[in-house]
Amino acid sequence: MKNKGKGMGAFLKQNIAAFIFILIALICFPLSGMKLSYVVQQVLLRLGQNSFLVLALIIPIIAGMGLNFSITVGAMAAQIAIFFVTDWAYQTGNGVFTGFTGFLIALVMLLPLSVLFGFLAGKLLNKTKGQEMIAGMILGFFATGIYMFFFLIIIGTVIHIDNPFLIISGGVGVKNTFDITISSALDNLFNRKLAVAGPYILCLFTLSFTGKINRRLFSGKKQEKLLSRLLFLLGALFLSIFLFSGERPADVMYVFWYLGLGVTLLSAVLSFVRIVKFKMEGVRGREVVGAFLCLAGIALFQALEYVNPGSKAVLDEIKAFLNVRVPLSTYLAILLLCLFNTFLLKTKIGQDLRTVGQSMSVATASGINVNRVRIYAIVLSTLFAGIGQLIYLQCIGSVQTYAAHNNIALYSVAALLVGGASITKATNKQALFGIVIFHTILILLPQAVGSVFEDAQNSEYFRAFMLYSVICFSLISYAVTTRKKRRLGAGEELSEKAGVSEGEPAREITSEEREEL
Amino acid sequence: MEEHYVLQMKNIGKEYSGNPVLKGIDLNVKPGEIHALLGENGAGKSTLMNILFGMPVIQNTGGYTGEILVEGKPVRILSPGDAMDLGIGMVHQEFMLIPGFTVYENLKLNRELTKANAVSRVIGKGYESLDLPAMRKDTKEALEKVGMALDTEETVSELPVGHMQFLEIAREIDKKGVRLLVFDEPTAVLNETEASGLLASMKRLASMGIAIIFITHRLQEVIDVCDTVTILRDGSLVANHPVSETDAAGLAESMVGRSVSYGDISGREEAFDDSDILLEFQDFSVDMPGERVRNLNLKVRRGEIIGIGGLAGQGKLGIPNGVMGLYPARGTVLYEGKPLPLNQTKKILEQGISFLSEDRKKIGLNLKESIEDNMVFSAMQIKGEYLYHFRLFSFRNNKKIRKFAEEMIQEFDIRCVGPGQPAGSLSGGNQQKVCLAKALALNPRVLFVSEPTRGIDIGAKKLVLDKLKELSHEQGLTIVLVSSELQELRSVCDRIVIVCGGEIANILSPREDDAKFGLAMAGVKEERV
Repeated sequence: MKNKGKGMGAFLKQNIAAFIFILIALICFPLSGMKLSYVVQQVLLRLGQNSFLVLALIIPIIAGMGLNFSITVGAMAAQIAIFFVTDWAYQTGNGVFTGFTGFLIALVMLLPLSVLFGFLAGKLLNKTKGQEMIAGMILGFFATGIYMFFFLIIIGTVIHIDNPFLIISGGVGVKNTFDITISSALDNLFNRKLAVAGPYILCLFTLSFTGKINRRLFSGKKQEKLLSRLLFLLGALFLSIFLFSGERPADVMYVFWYLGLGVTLLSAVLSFVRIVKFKMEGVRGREVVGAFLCLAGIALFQALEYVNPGSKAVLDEIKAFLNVRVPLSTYLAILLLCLFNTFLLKTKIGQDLRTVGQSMSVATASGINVNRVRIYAIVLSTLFAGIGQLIYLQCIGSVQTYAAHNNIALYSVAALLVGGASITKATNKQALFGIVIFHTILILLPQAVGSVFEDAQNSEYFRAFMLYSVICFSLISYAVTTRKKRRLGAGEELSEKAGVSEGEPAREITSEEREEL
Repeated sequence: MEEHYVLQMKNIGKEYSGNPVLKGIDLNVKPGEIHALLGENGAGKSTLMNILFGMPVIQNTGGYTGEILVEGKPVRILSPGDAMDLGIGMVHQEFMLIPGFTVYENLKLNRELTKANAVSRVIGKGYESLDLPAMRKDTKEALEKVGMALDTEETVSELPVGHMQFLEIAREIDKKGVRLLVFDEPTAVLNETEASGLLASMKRLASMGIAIIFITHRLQEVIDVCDTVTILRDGSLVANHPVSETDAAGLAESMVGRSVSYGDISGREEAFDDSDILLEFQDFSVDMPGERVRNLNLKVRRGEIIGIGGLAGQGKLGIPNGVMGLYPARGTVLYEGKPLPLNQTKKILEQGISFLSEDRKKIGLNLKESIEDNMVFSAMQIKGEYLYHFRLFSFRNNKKIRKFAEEMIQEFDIRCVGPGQPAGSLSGGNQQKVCLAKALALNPRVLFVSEPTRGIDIGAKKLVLDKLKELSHEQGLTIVLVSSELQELRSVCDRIVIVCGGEIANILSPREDDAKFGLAMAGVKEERV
């Protein structure tokens, strides 16, 4: 982008929806009268709960199948797995079926189930090409019927389970709600308070951003790749040693924290040098801005540790904020999925997915087995959705047997769309950003509206209204902008043929997918 | 001595639900030869090529009879993959390119080069990473072979149409061991310069020992570059001989089975002058992407056929599309001395201006609807004809619609089962006739006709052009005919306007020399010569 001002304008225009949502959140916050620490805690929790489900939607979008509403069937697979693990835990009294081992057993059970469900869903969606979204949604409703039949009638008549905790007293059918034995299994595996986890994550981001900026410094050197990653690896190593040294680390361990911080700052200084030396050439604005924000965040955390405001209320609030638990083990799982999505797009299979997504007829003519690729996309998506639902349920701690999966697809889709994704384009970043902003609004809006209208009963209504309006708004704005792009894009092409063209919708899709998300 | 052939197709036959579309076709192609495959639309060329490529449509409809030999060995081609393995490549008429992908991604589509990584070693080959530098290198080499330097990072949607064709060819060349390439009407969408570049490229490939099957409607190209010609008519083989033994007229004759003469010029340039102007363009500009018109000034005389020619992308298509309001237009158009309400398609149609679009599949016709409905649709909408009128609502007058449709089918010789047949199932030429009938149903006083013969066979071409001539000469209709085929313009028009860069380069009589047309097309204005 040669022209900074123009770049900013285009950036604003492209992300107009995201900015509107941020604005809504900012307006709602003071109105709701909620404490910041509570909102942050809730958002961090829900980020852990929902990310996997939302990220599961990305691959089918890339394969041109739109928003995969059939992730509901993956969620059902997870609920079936959890039901049996819970049952065995009660029946055997064996500790293996509780906690993290129980979670792993559920995961293993889930794999074949969700792959099978995904395969069937993929077969169906291949028969309804062009209407995947509505077909997927209806498939979800239909599958709910079979699922309910299984839990209401089959269990107790065909499969006899004698378990008063799970089964309705008549002996047929599963109770409406049951507590699970693997609650918080993943979240509790490894978590830290925000005072530790916050700077840790921010340092890693800073290292990553500045590392990209610094790459130029090492260009032409023999070990270019290693050198440019060295600082990141070193910093991550120090910081992780500190993180793993326990909830209350010995004083010695703080050496590693300061070492890690030192490496981060060194990397930032190098970035500064690089920008002075080579100007902004080859640097992306967002990397610089990102590094700056992260550094500011680290400084803020440090300041909060030592700040001493006069009033007790503020001090309590700061303490509550710093003590928010961050489920790092869940976040690690999410990170792995993000990395997998990114990795997949750089492979042969990923290229096939993208090709099919762009044009099925061209893909067929070039010898790609389109149906197989599409089934692969849905199987993966269903599998991830299943794992996502498992993570979601372990976080909630109980299962609503007949309703837990109902709104999963809608909420995930809405979060993804709020993040700026569309039915033809979605990235990991959009998914994560969307979850944060969507759930912030979801937490704040009902309260805010409730306090304005002085009636808390409306809150559920506003939550549902918000959900559907977000989806509707996003779909309409997508349709409008694509039509505009088609009209304008073609017109501009002529006038700006010589210059750097700016509105290249198509290229953006591909290059951005390629970028690490 | 037995001749060496790359490909021999022997006694090929094919039926679609009991309907024979190919009867005992033989096709023999030698290495390094350019072999023309000619035939009207529906003669069976596409079916023959589909068989050669193992397209699923053939297998799904019961396969074919006969024998295919590649390099003398009998083969059974059951899928496009089989064909590719045998070294048979196809350059498609509709681009098999992905607009959102870069040049190198398209060139290596489904033949991506990969490197093993940790994951792929465990799970499988599908997870190997793409080797982008190697893909770019191969792309460069293949593009050099066809004689085209393109930026490998360019997104295909930003390439001119002509370059896309080269990219398609480069992709086929890049395939290992390719020995036979099929070009399916590659020049149909190209302008004359691009087409000649393409032909040169084909010759170069042939000299590298690659055999080429060349399907085209342009007979001159056959004469220019081909070695041998095979002609199909109605699913049968009618001719197979070296090109040197024949000429364009001969080829045309064996294709249609009757002698064609649309070369005679019928221009009436003396009959009209500027005293009676029906339509006047003043500083007329149109924002049609790729076909922009800039400040055009032109007077159209009542009753004449005025041709608009020029190379692709110079703005000739922008003129009718702009007048009809399909693309935003500025300036003034005086119709009978009064300004037209530009950009308001309905009002323009109501004034008796009708348009036969170059894009008959998207704009001209509703492919799923029947022939008769397509014909009268505009007339019902605009003029309220073919309807029973009641006070609050109207009903279709089916009887009248059927009668009109049958008349038109008779008059234009539309080959169909009946007026109820869906327009989409007709061949290109017959679709165009339906479009013409639709335009005429409005009883227009001015008819804009855009590329009326694009992609249709010679027989239909002649009929359409003759009909246009008849409408003007006998019924006094004013026609603005836009075409990229100069020959066609010269055969029917009274005056020919050549546009270049969105402006008028020259207005010429159809009897003018070729050289003058050539100069005008290249943008050389009369005064400067």
